[in-house]
Amino acid sequence: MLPLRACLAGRSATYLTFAVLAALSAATLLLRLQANAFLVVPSYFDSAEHLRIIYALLEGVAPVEILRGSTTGYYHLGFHFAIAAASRLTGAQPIPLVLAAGPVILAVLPVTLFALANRLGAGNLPALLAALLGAWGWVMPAYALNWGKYPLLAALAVLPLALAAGLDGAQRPRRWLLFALAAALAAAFHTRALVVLVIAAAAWALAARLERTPALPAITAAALAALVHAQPMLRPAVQTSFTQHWPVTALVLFLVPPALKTHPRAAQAALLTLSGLLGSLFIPAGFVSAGQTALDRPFVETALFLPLAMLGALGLDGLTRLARPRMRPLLSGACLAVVLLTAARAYDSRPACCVLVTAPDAVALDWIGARLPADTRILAAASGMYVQPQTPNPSLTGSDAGVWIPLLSGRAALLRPFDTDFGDPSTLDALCRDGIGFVFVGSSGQAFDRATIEARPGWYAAAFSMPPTYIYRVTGCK
Amino acid sequence: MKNYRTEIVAAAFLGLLLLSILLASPWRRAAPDEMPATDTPPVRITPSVTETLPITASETSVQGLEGEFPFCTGQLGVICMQAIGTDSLNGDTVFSLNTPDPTLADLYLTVTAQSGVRYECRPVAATPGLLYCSGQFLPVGTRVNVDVYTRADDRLLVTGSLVMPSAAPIDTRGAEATQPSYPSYPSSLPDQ
Repeated sequence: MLPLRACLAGRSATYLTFAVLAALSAATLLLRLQANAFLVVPSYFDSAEHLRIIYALLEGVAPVEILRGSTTGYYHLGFHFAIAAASRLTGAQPIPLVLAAGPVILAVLPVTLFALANRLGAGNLPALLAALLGAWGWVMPAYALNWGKYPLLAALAVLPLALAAGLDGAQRPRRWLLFALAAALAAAFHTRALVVLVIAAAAWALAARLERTPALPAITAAALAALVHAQPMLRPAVQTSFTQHWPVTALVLFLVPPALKTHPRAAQAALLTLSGLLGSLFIPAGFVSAGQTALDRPFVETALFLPLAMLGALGLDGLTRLARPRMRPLLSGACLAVVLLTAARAYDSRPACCVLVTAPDAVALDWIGARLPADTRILAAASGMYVQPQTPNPSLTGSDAGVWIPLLSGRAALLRPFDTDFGDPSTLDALCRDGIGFVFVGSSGQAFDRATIEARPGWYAAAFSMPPTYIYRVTGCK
Repeated sequence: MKNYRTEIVAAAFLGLLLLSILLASPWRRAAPDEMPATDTPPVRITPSVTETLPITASETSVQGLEGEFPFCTGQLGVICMQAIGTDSLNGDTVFSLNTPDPTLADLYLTVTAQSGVRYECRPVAATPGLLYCSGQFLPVGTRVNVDVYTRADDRLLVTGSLVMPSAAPIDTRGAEATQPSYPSYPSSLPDQ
């Protein structure tokens, strides 16, 4: 326990603090696990790619080959290696392991947030507020599980530890080792964690020069507002992440002035990091992949909680320092109560979006694997991937349960836009040319329109139905 | 009074914030009735004829003795019917079942319309606790009694009757507008 204490929070943290932190982590784990009862497989199309990689690792495929076969340009395999190793060690199937990994990561996050807030100078109770904000303050980061963003969440859970160790490095050189390990782990989980590290380091360095510049908060706020206003794709991201939990956002905004007054450098750095995260959406990174920016919208939307949680902790610490001693417990309790009550009223154990595979889909996918020839090619619905501020020619990505056909059925799947008109002769020509034997219509997400398929009984015939999932055979090819 | 300015401002703000949380109408989304998985055409359930079944002492935990074959409308914790479909390639009717115990995968059904017909069940590999059972085609509107047995010892687990559902109406949602990937909360994806 003592090394853990020293590592996480120095000597000031009490055992009671750790007990509360452990209780918060345990409660987070239990409550977040509830969503898994509603999931057949992990959510959204990202998860199909994660599982493809994990199964390939288990089969001994070389990572280079895995990356070559990727359709989404994956360049970080740390999470996949971890799940594959866990599967090998425990004998558990990768799908339930990935499902369980999400809540586990979300339970670890409060601990590392506590460590960072403590290192930035927040006391135990304010640092607990940071932990609470990260776990339950806003829909993010937990909501990212709906997007299958497991590697990103794993990276964000480790990142505060790297930042905390980095802050300590100047005084205690051995902490650079911990920094290097944590930074490497975060980067292994998600390469773009390094971008956040660079942004945070630059913000920390800049804040040292500008900490006594009274105009900086106003400039930062104006820059943030301009960024959000200028970018249509950013606006809903920020609105939905924070207006749903407006009391918590109002609380953090209220705590910014005391944070700036008592912790000018750390608070300025948090504000600059916030601006840097949003600004990174406009920094081209074409050397990674065409059209890429330093960070993408889902990443930024997920990571915004990090500087905000620090601002909350620093602000509460400042507020309690400015207030009289007998008022401190009351103010701290009220701040914690705002977050807890907001979270309690907003909590819903069910996944909020992006469930692509339901039980009928799972049956249909199993049926494909059991009944259709191994060389069958199946058409699955897809939609354009819009994650960058400007995406002129988006790549296609699976938009219903059909994205799981290769993994769960062992058959080849080809993608076409979900709004394909199956009554158009050119569509049939394309299907025949590509050797498509069947068309999969999933139960949820953006699936093909059955009406246009069933309007052509001479071209397509029902093969399997498990409402609301349907599979049609292409019969119109000559 | 001036010395208490910080405390007064903070207490007033936090008090107002807490009050607004307590008084505000819930801002959570309207809860859908059930998960998309259960978006099945309505199926009529009729009283079963379980009194004619040869129930032995070892079958005291049989579900559905009151006559209702349970359909999966939530987390029931019992064996339930997930959906009923058709394998047109093989001319079969397919029943999809959920079992609360994932190890309970080796099952079969007997479906009695006029004479009992056996439907072999197969577990869905990726989804523990989900099975589907295929067998003779049953026309829409046929009233049948469904019995679920363990294959190992022919133990009756659940029984009940139902009427074969009609085909689901064709979804006419048509083409939808393109939207950003990774929909922000609350989702605007269809069927969510």
